[in-house]
Amino acid sequence: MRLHRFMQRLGLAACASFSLLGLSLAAGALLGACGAEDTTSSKRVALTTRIVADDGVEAPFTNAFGWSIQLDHASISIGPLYYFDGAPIFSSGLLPRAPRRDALAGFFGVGVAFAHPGHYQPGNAMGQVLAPFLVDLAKGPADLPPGNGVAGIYRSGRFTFGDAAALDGYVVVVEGVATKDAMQRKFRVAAGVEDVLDAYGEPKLDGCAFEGEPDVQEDGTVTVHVKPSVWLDQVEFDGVPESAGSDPISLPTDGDAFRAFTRGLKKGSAVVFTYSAQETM
Amino acid sequence: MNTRFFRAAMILLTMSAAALAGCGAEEPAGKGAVSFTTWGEEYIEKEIPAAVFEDGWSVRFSKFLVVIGDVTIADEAGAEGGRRKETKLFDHVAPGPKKVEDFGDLEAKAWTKVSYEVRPAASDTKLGDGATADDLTMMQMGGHSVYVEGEATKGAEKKTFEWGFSTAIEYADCEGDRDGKPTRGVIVTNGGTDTVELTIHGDHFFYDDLQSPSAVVRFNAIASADADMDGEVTLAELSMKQLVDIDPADGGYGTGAVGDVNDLGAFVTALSQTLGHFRGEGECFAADPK
Repeated sequence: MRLHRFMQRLGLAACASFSLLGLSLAAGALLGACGAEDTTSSKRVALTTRIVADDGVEAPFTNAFGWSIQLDHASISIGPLYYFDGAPIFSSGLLPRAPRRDALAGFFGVGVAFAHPGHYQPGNAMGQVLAPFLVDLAKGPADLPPGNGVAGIYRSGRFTFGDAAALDGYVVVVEGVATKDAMQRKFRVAAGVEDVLDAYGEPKLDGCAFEGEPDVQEDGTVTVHVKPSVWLDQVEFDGVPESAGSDPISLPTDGDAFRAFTRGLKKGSAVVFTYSAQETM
Repeated sequence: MNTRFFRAAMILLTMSAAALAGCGAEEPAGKGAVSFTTWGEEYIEKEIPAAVFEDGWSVRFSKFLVVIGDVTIADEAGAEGGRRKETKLFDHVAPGPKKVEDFGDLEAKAWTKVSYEVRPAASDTKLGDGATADDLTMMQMGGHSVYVEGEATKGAEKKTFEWGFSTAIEYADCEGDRDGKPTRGVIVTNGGTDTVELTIHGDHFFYDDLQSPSAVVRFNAIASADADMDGEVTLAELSMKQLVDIDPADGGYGTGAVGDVNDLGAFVTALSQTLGHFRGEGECFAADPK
């Protein structure tokens, strides 16, 4: 623990390539020496990973300005995913909570103490998917590269946007049709990595909810639910010109609609993780 | 030889006993007490100075009412050592720490799970230090848990505000520094009293991010919400100011993973649920009330 704090002070918290599982095993061995309960658990789990759009693909959704929006293209360049046992802010679930200062979390670039103002503390790093991936959510659910983790309670996750080079210089590209009364807008909007940076200047969403706070004890599937309705909820299409032909109108990057879209991309509520245990034959 | 052997045996026995104690062996416990106070610090009593604000504003509160109650002490297994469900109204503009609750006759040990709530004033809410009977009536009538009045100034510019919030929140699993060491909950010692401050942070109302620890304190965006330019920024005006319409130079106003926060009114209301702390800068988990 002291070593961890010392390393944090030295700014070594970004050593994300350290093996989570190896550290967990070591922590478990140390705890076992005094007969204490191994709260981090050393059991490894394999986590198949899927991603799916929760709305806007199979059926349209209506945004805050009354536009009914149907997507026919929703590509995302995805970077690493991390799972934690710290609860999201304003969580309704209470017990049991994660330890505040853990020997593992720091290696994932996570500060865990006194996190003003929303009090989100990631806690222990529980699992990860490290390989990047490119997906078009409009084509339906997709498999992501496999992940791994350790047994325990999963409460929150980090979603990172990936390499823009994989998507023609963007991290998210959305195309669709917005309809309101007699008005229709065929639109395209593309966001670069600079449009999704958080307060630390990193392209990530922290504190995303892990639905149901599952106690992961065996291999299973983590599904990443993406909600395009959150991305586009505050986009007012009134000011977006109608497209002349079949080509969509690109939302200008200096316009209100684009700004509303990129605010939506930065909302952690647009991504929710779920877990289901592997079905036994 | 015998003496040497005896000494060595005694040392080994002592070391074994110490090792066992370190592994959680039972020790005879006595009784002790915990005293909870609440304080709004100088930011609420006096001023949040311009040096704290990123954009040069300063804020003085003339009223900072908070309903605090349901203070609970439990051990690691969740067994309650004490719980006081009643609530009290405090005005943190009144100087000094204010008594909330005393718990006596507690077993001397670490009580790691301590929680308290901030929730709307009810008919049985009592008057705490600083607050008046009129304050209590106003809070009960309005269904408020938190109510603040104040004035922000920047040079010749001045904005006033009177905001009442009806949010309810439990601050659970509190942890803070005790004698310089991070401590979960409270530690009751035999014959001793652990005095714990439930600290209220008034500057949180002005943070420019709901989740990021790198949030800073600002007022420009709030001042710009004064749509009728009458000098008072109301909650209704804040609710008309969409976050997307805030000049990026006035702050990011990120919402993290908090859903359905799209305007400044909802933003400030969400921040009203982050005021509660523990032993100064210590923290609790914010959750739905019990």
